[in-house]
Amino acid sequence: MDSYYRRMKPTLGTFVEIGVDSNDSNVEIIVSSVFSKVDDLSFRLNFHSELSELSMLNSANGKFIKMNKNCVNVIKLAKAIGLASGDKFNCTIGNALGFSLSDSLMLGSSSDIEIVGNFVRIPSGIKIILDGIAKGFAVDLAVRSLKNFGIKSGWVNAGGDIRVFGDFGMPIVIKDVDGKAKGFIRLRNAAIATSSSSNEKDTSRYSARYLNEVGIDLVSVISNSAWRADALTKVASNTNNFDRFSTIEKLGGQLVDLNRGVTI
Amino acid sequence: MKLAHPIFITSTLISISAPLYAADFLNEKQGQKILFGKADRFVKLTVELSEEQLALIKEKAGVRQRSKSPQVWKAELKGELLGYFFIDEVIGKHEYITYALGVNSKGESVGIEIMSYRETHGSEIKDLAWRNKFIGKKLSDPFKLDKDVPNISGATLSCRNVLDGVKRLLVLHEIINNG
Repeated sequence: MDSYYRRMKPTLGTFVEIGVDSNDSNVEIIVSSVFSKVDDLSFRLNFHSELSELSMLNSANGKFIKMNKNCVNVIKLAKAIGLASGDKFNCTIGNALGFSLSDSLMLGSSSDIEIVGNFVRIPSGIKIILDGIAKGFAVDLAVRSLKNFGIKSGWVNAGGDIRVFGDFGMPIVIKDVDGKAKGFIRLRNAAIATSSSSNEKDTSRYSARYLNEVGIDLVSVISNSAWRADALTKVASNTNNFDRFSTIEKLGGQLVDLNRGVTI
Repeated sequence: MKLAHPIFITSTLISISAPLYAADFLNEKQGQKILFGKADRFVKLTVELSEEQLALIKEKAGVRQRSKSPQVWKAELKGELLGYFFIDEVIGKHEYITYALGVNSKGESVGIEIMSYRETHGSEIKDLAWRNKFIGKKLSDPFKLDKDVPNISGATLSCRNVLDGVKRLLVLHEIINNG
């Protein structure tokens, strides 16, 4: 890719970068339009805002709530990957934010989520949090939108969840929480997500910390779609080392475990 | 699961001393055009904040305004005020960011654009032992970092620092607007 147009904005609680290979004079409007879509989704899925659609669902006391099509789709995917992973990815743990999962808190399971058309219901008292999948979903949404506008190649990076499309291999450096580079890859027509745990209980951050018993290091997952790569890093976090590779592979991803070496 | 295209892992890693990630997205004029597309004129203001005003910003925004001379422009269309354009800088845990903010005549943010983003940490890879952990495919053409600045996948960065900066600037806007 010889020349590209890049923009970065704060949204989804992090920094989102869109890069496109295009000399189209409309590229600025196209990218602005895609950012608007991402912003819209970010607002609707914001767990920390009382005004968000997600908060409406979380405070609906067990009633069905009509939701925006994109919101329903994220929840559908969250439920599906939750069921497929035996709740190793579990978005119904909103009450656990900032606490250890071993504390007694009201937590649900993926099977608690009911979806009928554009209506969603969860049991009263349970809260859904979509931090573990929303960024990836937004990246896919942005890529789809860019392609619909006729953009042939580019990338979207939402706080480290990256999807690359088109005829080029993008070099990616994988970094841990301390900013240290842990590995390099070149990505082509695929997505990568990276997660780590830390002891930092920063509940003001958008990203939920999935504190777990296993004790996680830095893991990256590569997949065809960003939502899946994103969700599978959480599955990896909740799976022991011996089973991690095969578990992620069965769920449609490829694990890159930088602390233990990797064979691809 | 086999992906559609191969993924290449490099095992021939290199010591790097340049910043790993540095990107310039917009200059002043481009930022002005994106945030105030209709404006036909931008007038730079000379703003010198007093200690009192700095204290007021700290009190109302909850964060300290470091610069006594913030960069502010009036955006105008046919002599009429559309709003204000700000350029500001923040430092996060590992990053140094210059960003632009547009504020309309009602005091509302019309948009935030990152103008430049630089990683400040982790630029030197001294410990190359990890490179031997990568087995399997080797890159036939190791990428050259001076030509291909890599994108970053890592633990999510919060944009809290920029949003706090915006809070500051909105208070600053009140001060400027009120005289």
